[in-house]
Amino acid sequence: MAGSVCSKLVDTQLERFRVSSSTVRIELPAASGYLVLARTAVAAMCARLDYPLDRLEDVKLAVDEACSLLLSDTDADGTLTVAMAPGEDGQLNVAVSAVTRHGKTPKQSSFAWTVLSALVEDVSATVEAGQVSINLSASRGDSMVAS
Amino acid sequence: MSVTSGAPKRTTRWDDAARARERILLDTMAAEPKDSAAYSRARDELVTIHLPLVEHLARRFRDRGEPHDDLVQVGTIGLIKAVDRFDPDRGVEFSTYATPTIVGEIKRHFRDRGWSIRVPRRLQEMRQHISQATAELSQKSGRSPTVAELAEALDLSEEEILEGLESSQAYSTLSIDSSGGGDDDSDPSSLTETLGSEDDALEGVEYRESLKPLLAALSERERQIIMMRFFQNMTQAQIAQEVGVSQMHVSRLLTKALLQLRSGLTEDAF
Repeated sequence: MAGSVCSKLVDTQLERFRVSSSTVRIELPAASGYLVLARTAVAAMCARLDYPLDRLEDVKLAVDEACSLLLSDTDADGTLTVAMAPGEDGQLNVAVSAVTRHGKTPKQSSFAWTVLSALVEDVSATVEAGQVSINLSASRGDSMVAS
Repeated sequence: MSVTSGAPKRTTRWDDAARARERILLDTMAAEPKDSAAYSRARDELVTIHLPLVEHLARRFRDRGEPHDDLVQVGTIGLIKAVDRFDPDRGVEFSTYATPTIVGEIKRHFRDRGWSIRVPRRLQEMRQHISQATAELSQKSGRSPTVAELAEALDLSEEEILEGLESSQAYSTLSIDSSGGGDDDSDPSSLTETLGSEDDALEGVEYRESLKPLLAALSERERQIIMMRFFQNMTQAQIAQEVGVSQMHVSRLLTKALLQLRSGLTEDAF
């Protein structure tokens, strides 16, 4: 039950960015050992969108960071949801969410937030019914030559 | 029973004298109260004379992406545990008893970092090929190559490239400041100048005071790369060029340094 509520929230979150029919969503147990699945999935998504390697690694790192950030405030039996959808012009939107203990968005003055802001074009956070979502929006970067 | 202090002699061979000494030390530990000076001296010496065993066992795990010194360090923790738990009455040699404890501790170190112990040779080779091809393609086009381009250049599937990329993060955490980097020839002082003051850069980060010692604990290279990427918004490709290492190496160092910062930082991010 809780799962469907969560995924609905994530969907709403993604809608805010931009709707896409090709949303990929994975749910992970809230343990760092599973983050490799999130990283691998987002890397594959970046590859599909023809991201250059340095941007791909940035997005991977950002997703890893966002997941770790939420994990630090999530109970061990919780669930981490990673939803990603391509936007316009090779944009990639990723929403990482979990029901956290504090039910609060991360402080923008935290180091983790600084890291996220440097890695992707846009970072925002929202909270709905205890479900905290960190929303990342990445682009291929300006080093991409038009093809 | 008292134990004479002084550095134990390093023996290349585990000879009878050393074995006798070990016996005495174990007896001392069994006989003396745990809070006595004699007990702790015997304990220290037992640990010290078995350090070569830790060295030896740590070497078994070389080339798996963890610095040798770190492995010796965690292995030593295993050794200390073994010294504390050893029961001479069981009739087992101490080294026989200690070996699985030390190895266990080293393996746990890999596990704790979420990495598997074995790095298939195939992946090791692929990593090198990807790194090389990335450098070549970057040189040609002036930007970082895509996975598709790498797959074509190396005649591999995109999936294989992705696998190689992930594995290069997970395993290769060797600092370029440690041996084997091979590309450690740039002058760090010239970089420091371009960085400006770290204090200025960290302005606005609420937990900069707790961040500073963690940054200081990183290698010079890692610190520079962290500052360049997160506080000066340079791209990985730009950093690679500036520092004179491959972009994959920059990526690797960033991941590793972030991991280290994250585990050390006790900031209250919420």
